[in-house]
Amino acid sequence: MASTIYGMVAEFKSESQILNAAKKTKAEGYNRVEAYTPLPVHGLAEIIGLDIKDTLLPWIIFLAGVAGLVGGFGMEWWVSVIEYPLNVGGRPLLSWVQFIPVAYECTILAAAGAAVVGMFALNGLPRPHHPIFNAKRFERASNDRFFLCIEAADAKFDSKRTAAFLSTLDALSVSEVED
Amino acid sequence: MNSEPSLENSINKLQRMGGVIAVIGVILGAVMAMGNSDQFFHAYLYGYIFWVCLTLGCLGMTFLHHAIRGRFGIPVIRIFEAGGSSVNLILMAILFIPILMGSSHLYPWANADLVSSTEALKYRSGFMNTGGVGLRTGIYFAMWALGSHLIHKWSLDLDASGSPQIAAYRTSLGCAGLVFYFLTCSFAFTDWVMSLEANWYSTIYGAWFITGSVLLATAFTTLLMTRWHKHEPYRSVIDMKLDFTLWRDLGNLILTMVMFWAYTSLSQFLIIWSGNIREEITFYLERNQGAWLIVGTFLICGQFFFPFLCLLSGKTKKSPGWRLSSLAIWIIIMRMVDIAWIIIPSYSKAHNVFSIPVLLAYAGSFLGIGGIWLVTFTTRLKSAPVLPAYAVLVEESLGHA
Repeated sequence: MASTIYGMVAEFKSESQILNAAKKTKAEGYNRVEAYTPLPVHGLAEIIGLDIKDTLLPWIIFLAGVAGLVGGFGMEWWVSVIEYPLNVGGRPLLSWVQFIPVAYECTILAAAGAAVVGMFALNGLPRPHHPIFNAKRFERASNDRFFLCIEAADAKFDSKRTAAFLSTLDALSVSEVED
Repeated sequence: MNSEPSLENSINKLQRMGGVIAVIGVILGAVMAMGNSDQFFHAYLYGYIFWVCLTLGCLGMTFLHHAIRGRFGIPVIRIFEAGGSSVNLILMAILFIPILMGSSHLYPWANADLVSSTEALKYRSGFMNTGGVGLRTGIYFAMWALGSHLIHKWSLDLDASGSPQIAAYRTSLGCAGLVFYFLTCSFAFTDWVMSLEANWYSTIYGAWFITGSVLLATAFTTLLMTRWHKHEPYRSVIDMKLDFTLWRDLGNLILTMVMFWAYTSLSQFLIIWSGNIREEITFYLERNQGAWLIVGTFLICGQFFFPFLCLLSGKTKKSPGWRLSSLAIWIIIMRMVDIAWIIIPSYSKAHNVFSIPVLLAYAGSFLGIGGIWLVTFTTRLKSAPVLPAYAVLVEESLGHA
């Protein structure tokens, strides 16, 4: 007897159907929309407004990359100029040309590490359970079905009207998802 | 016929512009280089190399697209095919003749005194001589023109017939073409540009130049697309399906080329700098002083850091707005500067390029050759539908499945 609703979910058979449905859903004024598909659907993320600029992640990655660059170069400078100066074929101690590959690798390492850690930190994974798993036949989202969910948190959400709207979209089924 | 903005009108406008530029350039070049054949050939080689880079960059992208059949290429493939068309290649082959005639003004290997006094040149003289370079250049252009002609022909045949066999032909030729393209271009840029240096050599030179050429071709095409995308037939196709990916794909391609250009440039410099051998460092010694040092530093910032940082942001690649089109123009200018930085300091008869009459002679050569190039390019672009029909069919079937 769950009293709360997570959202209303519609099940589709093809990429083009869910693209079309997502467009109409956005046009209808729904904003808290999420799609679950067995394969990446080109353009879907942009339609439902999952825009990269909304997340902090690119900035975290960029700043980590800059830190890696400065740190890597700084380490080389400290080692070769301060801690253990070594004359290699008469080259200057601060042979910055030679330092570029290592500084570059440190940039990539820091940026890639920040991407992984930042991604997990921001998206709340790993998460053993999610209300969407309550949707009927949801296991087929990893096989051959495309699911579009309008979340109850949406200001426009109304279980009857939302269900009626979704059933106009050529969906195989429309069902309520318990929280 | 009508004055409404249409793709045809835009292409015609570009063609007329090319004609005017060609006339201005030829007159300017002739006036400025009159009576000074060194100056004439120096300026001529610069203009020639820039436009041959654009031609070959377009040819490489044509092979690449037909090899991988990626979605990004659908709206732009005909621009690449026109830029690297057999007509343009034959034009560039004809325009190479003056370079052969003036080789003694340009290349140390064509200077008998230098050859007899320089051990490396004497050793190479059986390979590096006017006849050899002329013969090889003829073979390169014949191969390129044949490949370009066949792949364009099959591209059109595929439009007409939709035959899967022809689709397989163009893919096979695209793959084989890419291999030959890298080999022949490496030889060609060695003959045409690297041999300006008497002793210096670099094994990454071909890849370095090809990367720059493909970068130039992609920027050129991106610029045209940001201007033309609102016209039919581009508009409906881009709106229909490609809107989200076309600009991002073009932007990411430029980003990739910018990074690969930086990678090849740095590899070349790093290895030579570490080796620190007298013969190998001449190229960088000439460029490590005076104004060329400033130009080189500017290139590192302007052809790598600036476009790299701009293109990291999704905003630049989101729409064909001013960001992407200005960046494309910027890259084209950087290619002009880069090619100048590579070529001009190598001229053995040094002259001060930073003076108005010399700069005007270079501008004349650049515009003269470029104007003619634009005329043949637009003629070729008009001769075929700008969107390949087979690809549009595929897109439609995807969109309305």
